[in-house]
Amino acid sequence: MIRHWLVVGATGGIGTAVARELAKRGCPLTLIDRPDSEHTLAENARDLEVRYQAEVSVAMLDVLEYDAHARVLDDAVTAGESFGVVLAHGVMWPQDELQRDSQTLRRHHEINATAPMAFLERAAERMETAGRGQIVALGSPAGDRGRRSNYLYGADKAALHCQLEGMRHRFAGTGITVTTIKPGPTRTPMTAGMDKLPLLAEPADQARRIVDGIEKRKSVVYTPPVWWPIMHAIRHLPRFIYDRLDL
Amino acid sequence: MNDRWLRREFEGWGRYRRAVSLAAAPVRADELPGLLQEASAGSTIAFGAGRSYGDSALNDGRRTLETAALDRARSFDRERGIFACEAGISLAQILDVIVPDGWFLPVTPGTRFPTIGGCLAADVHGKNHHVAGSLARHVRSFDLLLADGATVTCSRDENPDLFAATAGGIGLTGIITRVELQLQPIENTFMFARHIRTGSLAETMEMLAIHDEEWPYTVAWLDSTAGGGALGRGEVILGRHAALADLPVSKRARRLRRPEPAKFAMPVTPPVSLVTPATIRAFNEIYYRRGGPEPDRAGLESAYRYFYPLDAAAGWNRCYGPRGFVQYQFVVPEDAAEATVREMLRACQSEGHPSALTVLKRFGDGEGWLSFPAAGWTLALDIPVRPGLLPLLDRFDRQVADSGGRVYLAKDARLAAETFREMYPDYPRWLAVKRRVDPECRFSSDQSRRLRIDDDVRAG
Ligand SMILES: Cc1cc2nc3c(=O)[nH]c(=O)nc-3n(C[C@H](O)[C@H](O)[C@H](O)COP(=O)(O)OP(=O)(O)OC[C@H]3O[C@@H](n4cnc5c(N)ncnc54)[C@H](O)[C@@H]3O)c2cc1C
Ligand SMILES: NC(=O)c1ccc[n+]([C@@H]2O[C@H](COP(=O)([O-])OP(=O)(O)OC[C@H]3O[C@@H](n4cnc5c(N)ncnc54)[C@H](OP(=O)(O)O)[C@@H]3O)[C@@H](O)[C@H]2O)c1
Repeated sequence: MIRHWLVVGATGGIGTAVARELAKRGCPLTLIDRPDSEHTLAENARDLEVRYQAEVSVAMLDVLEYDAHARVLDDAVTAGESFGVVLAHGVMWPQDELQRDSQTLRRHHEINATAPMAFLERAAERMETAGRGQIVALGSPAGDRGRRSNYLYGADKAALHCQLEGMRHRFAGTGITVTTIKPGPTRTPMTAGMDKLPLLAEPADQARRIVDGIEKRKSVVYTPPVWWPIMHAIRHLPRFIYDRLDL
Repeated sequence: MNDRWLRREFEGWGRYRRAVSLAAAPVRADELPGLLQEASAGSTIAFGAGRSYGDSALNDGRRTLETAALDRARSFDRERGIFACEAGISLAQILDVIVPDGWFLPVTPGTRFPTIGGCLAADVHGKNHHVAGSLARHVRSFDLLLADGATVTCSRDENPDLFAATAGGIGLTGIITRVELQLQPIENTFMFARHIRTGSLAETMEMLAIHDEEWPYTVAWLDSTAGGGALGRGEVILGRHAALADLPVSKRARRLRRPEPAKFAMPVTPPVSLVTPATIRAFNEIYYRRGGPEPDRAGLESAYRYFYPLDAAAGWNRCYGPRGFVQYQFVVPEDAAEATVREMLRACQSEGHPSALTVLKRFGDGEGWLSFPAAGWTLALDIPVRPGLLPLLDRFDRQVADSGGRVYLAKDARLAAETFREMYPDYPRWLAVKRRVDPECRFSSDQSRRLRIDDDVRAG
C-alpha cells in the first residue's frame, strides 16, 4: 500500500475516521480541510500523534479555490514521491433548496463534483510523474440511481463515479489505482437529525472497511458490503416498478 | 442551513423511554460554551453513546448535546499508563489505543461502546468492583463545563466536592469535557477464567463469596427460569488477566490484540418482541447447560469475549421489539441479600415476567454521592416491557429501599421520586453542590424531572 496519504475533508465524520485508520496502520498523513476548520485540524493531528504516534501535517484548502489545488499538492508532496489521496469532503444540502435555487445547486455541485474532479486531475498528474499512486474518493449509493428525494446530490456523485471509472480505465496496467467508495448511511454530521435512516453505520467501522479496500486496491467498495446487492437490485429494477416505490 | 440544533429522536438502551429533542453534535469541545449559551435558560443534557437503559440521557422537548464526536486522545504516557482524552471517546477506541502498549481499562462495564464521559457520569462498575472499586477511583482528574460557561478541573484535591458530585452525578452537574485515567497493566489480552456451575442460590452466593478473595473478577449468571430448590442456580464466572506464562507458545506472538468489530447486527426492530417467556426459558436452559458435562472448567479466553459477550451482536436491544425492555438493577446490603434475591426471582417467575438475562455480583465499598455501588449484593434483571411489569417493579423498589438498598440510576426508567430519596442518603450533600453550580437547573433530564430533583434545586 501507498504510505503517504492526503485526506481531504479530514475533519468530517468519515474523513476523521479514515485518517485514524490509516494512522493506525502506520501511514504518514497530510490532513486537509477548509480554513474554517484550522483549529479542528490541529486537534485532529494531535489526536493521531497521541493515538498512534503518527507523522502528521496539516494543510488548509477550500476545494472551491481551484487555483490553490496545485500549491497544496506541491506543499504536501515532494516531486516524484508516490502518494495517495482520499477525497472525503462533501455536502448534502436539502434537496428542496437545490431544486428551488440555481445558485445553491451550482455551489453544491461544484463542492461535490467539479472542484474535486479538478483536484483529482492535478493529483493524477503528479502520480503519473511518480509512476505510482492511489486515488480514493467518497462516492455514494445515491449516485447509482436517481431517487426523488435526493437525485441532485446523487447526480453530483454520479459525475464523480464516472470520472473515477474513466481514470481507472486511463491508468489500467500502471502503478496508479483508483477506488470508488460507496458508503451506506453513516453516523456523521452530514446525517445529523436524520434518525429515520436505517441503522447508521459507525464511522470507525466504515473506515476499517474502507482502508481494507484501499489496501487491496479494490475498484469499488460498498460499505457495509450489503449495499452492493441492495444497489445491484435497485439499479436493475424495471422502471415501472421503481417509479412506484417510495424510496 | 447553519442552525446547529436539529430535531432528533433519542432512546434509552432499553428502548422503553424515548424523547424528541433539539440536538447539537459539536465536533470540538470549545464549541460547547457557545452552544450552551444558545440553549440560554432552557434545559440541556449530555448524550454520550446512549447505553444507559432508561431516561438518564433523554430530554424530551428540550435540548441534548451529543458528545460522541468529541473523541480525541489528548495525551498518553505509555510508561506510566496515564491516558487523557475528550469525554466522548468510546471505551472501544480507548482500548484500541492502549492495548498494544500493554494497558487495559482499570474498570469496565459489560459493553465497550459507551463513552468515557457517560461512564464517569454513571460511575460505572465492573466485575472487579470488590477489589478495584468503581471508575471514579481510577480517574485522576477531569474537566467539567459548568452552567455559567466556565470550565473547571476536578480531582481529589481540586474541587473535590464537584468531583464527588459529578462521578455518578448522571450528567446533572455539567458537561465532562476531558478525562484523565490511570490504566492497569496487562501482559496480554487473554483472561484466565473459571466457570463453576451451581445448583442453587445459596451455592451461587457461597461460591462468589469464597472466590472474591483470590479472584479479581467475579460475577454470576443466573438461570432465571429454574424454580424450587434450583432457584438461583447458574454459573459463577471467575477471572484474572492471564500472565505471559499462562499462554501457550502459539498465542504469545500476538498477545496484545485490539478489540475486533461486532460480528452480527440486528439492523431493524422486529414488529413483535423475540424475547418472550418461551424463548427466555429456552435460552436460559441452553445457557445453563452450555459447559457440557463439566460443572467446573477453567482456561484461557479472549478478554473481549470475557468482558463484552453482548457486543458481538450490534443492536441486540432491538430484539425486544417495539415495546423494549427494562433493566432493573439494585444493590442491597449483605444481610438482606439472599432473601431479597430469592423473592425477586420467584416473583418474576410467578407473575409472568421472567428475566432474559440475570446477573449477580458482590460489591465492595462505594464512591461518589449519587454513585450506585455500595457494599452488598447487586442483581440485574432484563425484563421485557409487558402489562403488569411496572407495579411489580414498584414492589421491588419498596423491598430494596426497606433493606437499605438502591437501584442504579443509569439503568432506571421508572423509579418514583420519594423512593429515590430513601435510596440515596447522600442526596442532600449532592443537592447542595448542584444548587451552587447550577441554581437554575440548566442541566436536567427526563430522569431528573421524574425524580423531582429539579424541583428541589429551584426550591433552594
Ligand atoms: C450491554 C450493557 C452492559 C452494561 N454493563 C454495565 C456494567 O457492567 N456496569 C455498569 O456500571 N454499567 C453498565 N452498563 C451501563 C453503561 O455503562 C452506563 O449507562 C453508561 O453511563 C453509558 O455511557 P454512555 O456513553 O452510553 O452514556 P449515555 O447513556 O449517553 O448517558 C448516560 C448518562 O451520562 C451522562 N453523560 C454522558 N456523557 C456525559 C458527559 N460528557 N458529561 C456529563 N455527563 C455525561 C448523560 O447525561 C446521562 O445522564 C451497561 C450497559 C449496556 C448497554
Ligand atoms: N455520511 C453518510 O451517510 C455518507 C453516505 C454516503 C456518502 N457520503 C460521502 O462521504 C463523504 C464524507 O461525508 P461525511 O458524512 O463525513 O460528511 P461530513 O462529516 O459533513 O464531512 C464533510 C467534510 O467536508 C468538508 N467540506 C465541505 N465543503 C468543503 C469545501 N468546499 N472544501 C473543503 N472541504 C469541504 C467539511 O469541512 P467543514 O467542516 O469545514 O465544513 C467536512 O470536513 C462525502 O463526500 C459524503 O457525500 C457520506
